[in-house]
Amino acid sequence: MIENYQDFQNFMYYFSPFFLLLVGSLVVSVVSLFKRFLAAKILSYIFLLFSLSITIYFMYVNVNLLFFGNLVAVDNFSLISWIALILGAIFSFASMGDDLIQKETQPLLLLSLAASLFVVSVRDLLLLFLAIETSVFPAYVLVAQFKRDYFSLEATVKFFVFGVLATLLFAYGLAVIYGAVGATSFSSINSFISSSSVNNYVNFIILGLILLLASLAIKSTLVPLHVWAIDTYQGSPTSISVFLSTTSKLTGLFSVALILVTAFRNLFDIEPFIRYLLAILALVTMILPNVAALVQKNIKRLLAYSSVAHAGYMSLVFVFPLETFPILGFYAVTYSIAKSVSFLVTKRISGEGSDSPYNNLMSLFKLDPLAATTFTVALLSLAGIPPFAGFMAKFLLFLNTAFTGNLGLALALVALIMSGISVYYYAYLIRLEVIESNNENISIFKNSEMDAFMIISIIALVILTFFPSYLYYQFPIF
Amino acid sequence: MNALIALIAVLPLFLIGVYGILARRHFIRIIISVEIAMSAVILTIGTFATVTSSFGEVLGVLVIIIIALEAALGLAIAIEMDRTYKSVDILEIRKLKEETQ
Repeated sequence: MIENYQDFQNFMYYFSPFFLLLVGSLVVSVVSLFKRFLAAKILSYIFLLFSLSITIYFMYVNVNLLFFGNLVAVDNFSLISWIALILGAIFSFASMGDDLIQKETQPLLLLSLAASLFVVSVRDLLLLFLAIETSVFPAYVLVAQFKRDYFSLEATVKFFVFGVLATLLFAYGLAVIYGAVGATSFSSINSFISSSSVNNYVNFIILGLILLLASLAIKSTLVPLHVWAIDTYQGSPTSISVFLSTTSKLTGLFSVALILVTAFRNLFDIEPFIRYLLAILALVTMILPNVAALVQKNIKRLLAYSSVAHAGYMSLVFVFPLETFPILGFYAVTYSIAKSVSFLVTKRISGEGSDSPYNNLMSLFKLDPLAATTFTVALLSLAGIPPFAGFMAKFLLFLNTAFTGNLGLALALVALIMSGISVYYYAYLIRLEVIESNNENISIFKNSEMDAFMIISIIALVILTFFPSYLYYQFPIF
Repeated sequence: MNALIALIAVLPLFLIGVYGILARRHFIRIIISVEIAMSAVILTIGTFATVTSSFGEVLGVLVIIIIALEAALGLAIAIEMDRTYKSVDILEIRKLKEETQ
């Protein structure tokens, strides 16, 4: 009993970033009830920044702990993932307009973020299922906020139908794996796969893993199942697109990486077929969105395609989890900053609606030099041009993939070529910023809060290039 | 062996549900299809719970909770669709959107 209490106390202490956000969600919802929206926003910033700084402190002291009989853990993997997830949510708050703040957006966003933090620290399939569902339910409501936009409802319906399909597939995969193993914790699944009794049940395990992968591929927008993402990112309010394309998507990617390096790490030796399946998934996810993005006419839609392409680069990690896993943390953090700040600039120049034509970018360098510079830096980082952090992330990821063998070399080559193609559409946007435009009715929502976040993100994207090793994952304990 | 027969008997139910989600246009029908497929999942978990550990019963109850939440949210979205477009047909929405723009 005493030991359990000690365990609980430690759990409360080391999960304080998670509990802070949970409490924050309650406090902010009460404050918004009394129509003190500015106070609510300041409170949410305080909770988010506290939670971020506590996470960085835990990273500094290097925590590695398991709680409640190996069901949840705080380690290097979960802490770095927390940083990437919280950063996306902070930028989402920074880009939020007044009309959204006056609804239930803030508490729901904090709740969804808290559940996302829990996703990366669970070590049990059932808890993973519940945590993912908790993080996705508020997201349905968040997408549906902007009712006067005609794209909004279609975005919600697509998101909901695909989300429900993901839930179903995950539940069925969970049921099949539970039937074969008899338990759902990662350590028991791993020891079952290592033992000799797996031979009778290997088909069950493979079927279960494929169902889980299909479900999480919907969340992390891998290609055959990415169709919802394009419309949803365009149709949802821009500040929610920030949240969906960073926190929500990274939750899916992290959970795929988590189950592949912990529970199913020995399955690659028994059944090489899984590796080829994941390689095909990564290959298609790299090629298709990069080609489709070349013909877009809408900034939000283009950024959505680019985010799907980045999910493809990150899914290279799934093909060779043991060799390239450490890079994923650095890649996710740089992607999170660059993608969210590019959506933030989109919000600044074309508002929350789905209508954001390329023409809005014209003569941006003259009208709003800071936003133009930030957009340029963010896009160059996403494209992987040297002085910025995105270059270092792509360089390390492709290099480590290429060193794994023939399959890795081929995948890295395709990734490199597709990365080269992507420079075309990023450079096209940057070129538009310089061209003088004739229409004078472009309105830019300037505020100093956004300015501060843009300056911070430029500095972060330059500095992070030189310190990738601080954000390397260690393998998760389980 | 009996468990395997039960699983094979349940599988068509799941496939019917997934087909319904992908092929139907009426939003309420999609939600009903979800319920059908989810009941297949619950039956599968129940079958496994009889042959392995009793932990499966807990799992089944939690899955029921999740699906109840999902149905509630789906009906809320359906009401919103009906208010905005006077229709709960998914393809109809797309057409209406193109007309209004």
